Amino acid sequence: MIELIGSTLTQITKAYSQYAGSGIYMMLFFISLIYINIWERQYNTYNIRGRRSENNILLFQYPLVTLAVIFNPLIAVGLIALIGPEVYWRIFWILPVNICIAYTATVTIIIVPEKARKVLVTAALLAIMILCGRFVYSGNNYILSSNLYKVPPQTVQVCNFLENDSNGAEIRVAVPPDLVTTVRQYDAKIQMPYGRGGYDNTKVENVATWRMFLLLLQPQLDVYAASLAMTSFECNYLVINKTQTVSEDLEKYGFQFAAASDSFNIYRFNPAWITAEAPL
Amino acid sequence: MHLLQILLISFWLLIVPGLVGTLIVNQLLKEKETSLLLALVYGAISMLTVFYILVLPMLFLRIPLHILMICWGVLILILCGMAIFLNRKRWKDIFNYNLQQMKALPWFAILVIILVLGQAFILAGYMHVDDDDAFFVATANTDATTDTIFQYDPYTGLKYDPAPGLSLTAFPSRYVLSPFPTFIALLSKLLQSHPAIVAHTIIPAIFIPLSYAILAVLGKRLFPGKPEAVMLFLLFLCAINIFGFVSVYTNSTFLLFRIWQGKAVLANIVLPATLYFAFRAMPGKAKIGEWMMLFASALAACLTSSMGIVLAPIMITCLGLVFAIRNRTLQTLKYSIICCSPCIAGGIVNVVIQYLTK
Repeated sequence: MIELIGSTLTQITKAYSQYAGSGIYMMLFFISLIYINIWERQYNTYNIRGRRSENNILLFQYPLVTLAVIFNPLIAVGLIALIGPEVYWRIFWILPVNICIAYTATVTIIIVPEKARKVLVTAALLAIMILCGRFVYSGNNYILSSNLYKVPPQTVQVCNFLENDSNGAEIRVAVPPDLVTTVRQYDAKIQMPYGRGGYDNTKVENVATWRMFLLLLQPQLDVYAASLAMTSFECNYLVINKTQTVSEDLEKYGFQFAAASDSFNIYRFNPAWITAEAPL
Repeated sequence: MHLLQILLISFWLLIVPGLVGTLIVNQLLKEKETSLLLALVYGAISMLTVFYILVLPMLFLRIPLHILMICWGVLILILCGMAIFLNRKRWKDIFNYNLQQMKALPWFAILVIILVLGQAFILAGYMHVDDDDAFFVATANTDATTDTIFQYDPYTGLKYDPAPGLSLTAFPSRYVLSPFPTFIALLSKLLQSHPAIVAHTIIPAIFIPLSYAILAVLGKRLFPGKPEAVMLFLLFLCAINIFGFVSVYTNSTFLLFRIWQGKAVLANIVLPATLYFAFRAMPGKAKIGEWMMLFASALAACLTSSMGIVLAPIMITCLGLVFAIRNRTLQTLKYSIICCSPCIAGGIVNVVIQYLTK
């Protein structure tokens, strides 16, 4: 029992670290809770018959109770069993963190008497929030897209080629990791033997699809193994990265060069095209 | 984007939720004044709730997507028709009231509006690559392409269970009770747009302002009769969100990176709406309509994410507990638990499905 509580506490701490990141915004949140409680007692005129104001209940008492639930190992153990330890950090979404911080900043300005001072305090509080946080539009978080679908242009090129080349026939294509997450976002008529991470989304973990996915991750494509996998998964197209070299002549193993996009080579595949000298 | 698509987007994602919302504000809650912002919030949550009630049986019965679209569309349009008819004598007052409210806004409200729209249009205009879209957007696209509801694996395009008939265990247990991508597929049909465009371009332009609309109505409740304070509150929230990239797991990053995914909608629209609805229903003597909307938000939480099935009841119960102590009555807690019932039922079904599929 003690071991279980210990491991649960570790998971809670980990989830908190994941959610809080640098932790400064959470620190602002905890300061806000104290501030809200004091402010509501001193200044709020909405109290009814000596009871705590509604704002105090929502922005002080509710977060306190929620924190007690989140950090209680006896409750958390059940919740973690239900939702899984890897996503326990999502429970922090029920805390009104941003709302409490923004409320505290607003009530601070309300009690400042003069307009000029209000402007100064607002600027100071905004500066605190900016300095404590991290700009969301920094780094490579956003990139300019060449299309409204917001998928990489290579995906559009490859999918459009496959659609045109197949003349309406069923397409089953094995693609490298760079394309695997976006092909079916753009064109759901195209089938693939595997998806993100080399797996499908069914309950059965398919080791064979994962192995095929790994083939396209290697610096050199094992053509023999690729041909076997393409045959077993009934694929009729293969897309490989232009930087990936091939171990043998692709044509011998049933592949036929179809086109090249900016970053990829596209091959048609048919097991009937495998020549006799291929050791299959 | 064509003019027709812009008109369709404005109709289905702004006018329709607004109309449905006025029906709730005026006829269900019997408010004296009708804030269109509040109507938009109520309308949006109600549309998600109606969708969830329809999609769940249709999913297990393997009914085509276009049937769901017709049923949902007709039902929502009937609600709109009712709103237009029942409020026919109030429209002038409604617009006058909202115009007055807008006139009372301080000068820096313009700054807040620019910041909110700026956040929306940056995500609508730029691209944020997220591998989870391999499931969420591909599911929406697969549903729209195959005219089915959750029948195909979005990773491969193969059918989950080719055997016909009702099946509880044919689908991925983690997602089957929260088919939010199907809502995007349905919108793509209604808006005549590709599901990837709906998810990556249209949804951010609408849902980010909607998220702030919920915070604005909450702000109005926290600072009654103080529009300046409400705008300051929103200004600070904008700053917190824009500088909220302290980790990739915060509500802010989910809002500004991937609002088209169900879990982001849960964190930034449904849970704040639940908080607001609870804040209206729980203190003092609440109208039954307020509790009904809290119940509706619990259903919307179930639609958006399997996490919603767990998070919404925790939130509602914690709120119910603190307000029950404050009100010194167990009725608040009793109603809260009733509001959690869709989530509890969903949780039980989820556990059963997981047990059966093991």
